[in-house]
Amino acid sequence: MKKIGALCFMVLSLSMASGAAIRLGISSSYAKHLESNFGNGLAPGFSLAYDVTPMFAVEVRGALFASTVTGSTTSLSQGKMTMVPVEIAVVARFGAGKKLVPYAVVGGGYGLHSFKLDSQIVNDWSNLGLTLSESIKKGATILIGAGLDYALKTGPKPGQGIFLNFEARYLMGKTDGSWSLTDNASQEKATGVLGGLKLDSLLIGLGVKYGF
Amino acid sequence: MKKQKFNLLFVVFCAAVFGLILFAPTKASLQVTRPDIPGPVDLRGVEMVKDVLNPKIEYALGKLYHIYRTEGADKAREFAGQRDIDLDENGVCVVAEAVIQNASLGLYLEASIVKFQVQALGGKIETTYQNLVQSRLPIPSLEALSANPAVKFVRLPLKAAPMAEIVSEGVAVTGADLWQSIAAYRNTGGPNVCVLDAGFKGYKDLLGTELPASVTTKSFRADGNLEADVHGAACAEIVHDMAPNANLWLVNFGTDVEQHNAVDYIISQGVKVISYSMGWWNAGDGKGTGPICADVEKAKAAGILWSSSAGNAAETHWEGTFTDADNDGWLDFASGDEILSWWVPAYTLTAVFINWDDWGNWNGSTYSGSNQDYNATLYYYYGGTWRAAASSIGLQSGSQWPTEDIGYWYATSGRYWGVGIKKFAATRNCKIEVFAYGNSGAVEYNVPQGSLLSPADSPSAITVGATDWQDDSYHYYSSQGPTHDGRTKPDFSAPSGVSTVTYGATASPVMGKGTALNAPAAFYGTSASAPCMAGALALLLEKTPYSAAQVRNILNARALDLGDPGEDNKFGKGRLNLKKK
Repeated sequence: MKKIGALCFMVLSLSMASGAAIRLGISSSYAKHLESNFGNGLAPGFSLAYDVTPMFAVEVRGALFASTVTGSTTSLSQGKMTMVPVEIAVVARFGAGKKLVPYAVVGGGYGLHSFKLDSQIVNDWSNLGLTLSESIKKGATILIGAGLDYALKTGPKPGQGIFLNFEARYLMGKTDGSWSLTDNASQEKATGVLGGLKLDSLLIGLGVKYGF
Repeated sequence: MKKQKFNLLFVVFCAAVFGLILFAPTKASLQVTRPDIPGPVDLRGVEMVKDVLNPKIEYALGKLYHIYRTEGADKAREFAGQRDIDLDENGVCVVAEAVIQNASLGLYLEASIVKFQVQALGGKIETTYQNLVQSRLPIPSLEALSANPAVKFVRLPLKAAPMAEIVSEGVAVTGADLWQSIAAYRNTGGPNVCVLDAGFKGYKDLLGTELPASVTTKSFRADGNLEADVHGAACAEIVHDMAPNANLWLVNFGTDVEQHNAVDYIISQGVKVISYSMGWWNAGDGKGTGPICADVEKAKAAGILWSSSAGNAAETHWEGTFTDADNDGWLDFASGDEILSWWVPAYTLTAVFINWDDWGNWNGSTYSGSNQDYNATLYYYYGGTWRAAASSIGLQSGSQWPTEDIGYWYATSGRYWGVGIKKFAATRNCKIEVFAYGNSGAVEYNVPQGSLLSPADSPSAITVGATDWQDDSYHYYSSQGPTHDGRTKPDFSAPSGVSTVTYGATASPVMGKGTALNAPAAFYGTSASAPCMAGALALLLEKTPYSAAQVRNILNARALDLGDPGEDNKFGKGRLNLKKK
């Protein structure tokens, strides 16, 4: 988180020094996992964009996407998966300064993923004297998307003002997981790797941006 | 008037009920009075004549041949019936052991020669396994078959005995119900479990209720009779109670050769657990070797967990080193007593099995054999004296197994039976082991230690003794270790005396000593314990991703220690326990 904070601070400083527009945004998306055993849900997010030119901006963005996992024998078991993709993206804005600005975004980053097993399952095994655990690794993410900024109030420079934002983005991610079941009496342990867990998801969201 | 009549009837009714309660037969009054055990016996001067001396034919078979030749077919049939020898109009069921020349190449050419010879002698091949040829042979052909150089030995088929006569209350006692309710982790579907047994009579009536809706069945008996015995059906019930999702194979056999083929089949079916509630006398040296133990080894090598009953022989067993204080050649079971006796109720079959520690080396197919020759005579006590019933005077001249057996006899009244053992041509005092059969109550000078039957002594078997499901007490009949090479057995104990549809519920009269084998009773014996263990193994394999070896270690760690602290020869590591420890 410190790194993210430092990155945001750097973008802000650069922007203030150059006089280019900066947009801060918050959004809420409906996130749909493409893997059937991962549930869907709301994903709040933020963005901080710096206009390198009137048409191109560099953006730091993040989201928090928690979803239920229904569980399967070959993937994660029932529980809750949290994805926190933090990405740097390049945004191409078409017709900056107009009321309606469509844009495309491409980026990549790092997903701070985590998984928590359903407590009932953990307790059930614990009652039998076994410790069950599952986890997933953090990993890279790739982002492509497109959106529209609708200026509710425009500022003196392109990119400044207050915008209503609609965006659809496709988040690609892959990670590995692992599981272990340990019998507490004998210390017999069974372990396994859940390789290549696909975390691909489609996020469609609405947000507000403030450019200055 | 009516009221008076009613009162009178009421009084009569009450008196009848009171009388019934007062004079109801108690357990003690129902027992047959048993006379005191006869005193010590000196057999000095009693001789046994080696009347059958073909070293390539088992004594009982040789005797059958001898009787046939000298006394005729009727007497031979009578003898066969008495000795439980499988004889019908097509001949006697025998196993010819072929000489092995090329076993390392997996070739058993001599077995082919033996097969040809059997057919040429008018016999019918029933089944074969490696160098063993099981056939039905006319009695007159026995001598000719044994004369073939390709034949090493002609014997009766080894026969297993079910280790019972006994819901699976064991499910709750062991905690299997807790495991049944949890979803499987990293696993789908139940494992394949095979109940390998004598027969599954009535199993069709249990499908969909006491057994899965469908099961896989196969009989390896020569007659193909899957329902030759009821015992396996009760065992299968317990496995199903413990592991309801397990896929069941019901496989039966009658002889050792048939069992070898059955085990090969089971391995080919991807079975993960075998429930085996059978036991064999005189089928190995008690050190985990022999043809039956070899089947267990083979199954283990294929990744199969083999749950084996320990045996119900704790009270039927005597063992000790041959001693003969008066140098009359007869074994002293105690000072001055040369007959080991046991009580047998009326109309109950009795037999005796003797072996001694001179088996030689096990080569994977047979033992090198014994040159220490001991013989045995079965006696019964009647009219105040011991009378000889029959003798077993097999030859041990270097290649034969060190075994003698005499059976099956019965009497129309309860009486003591006994065995005397004579050193015939032995250069050392061997350690003798005796198993009686049919006894009610312990044999005289009973030695419960070391009373395991084969393959309970196999290091690869998970050997299971019997405890009472209600209070974890030791069941008096449960065979005890150690093995003859000093290993602790059984490995576990598990609930017995449980309810099954096949044998009845625990509310039925408990099978006690001397209860007729067909009496309605709960399922007693280590036969009930072994499938409980097999079911537990299957349940853990179904619910967890653990390997077979890990499952066994988990059960080791969870066993409920009983008896002496730590592992012991009555309870093993303790009673089977799946609950959190």
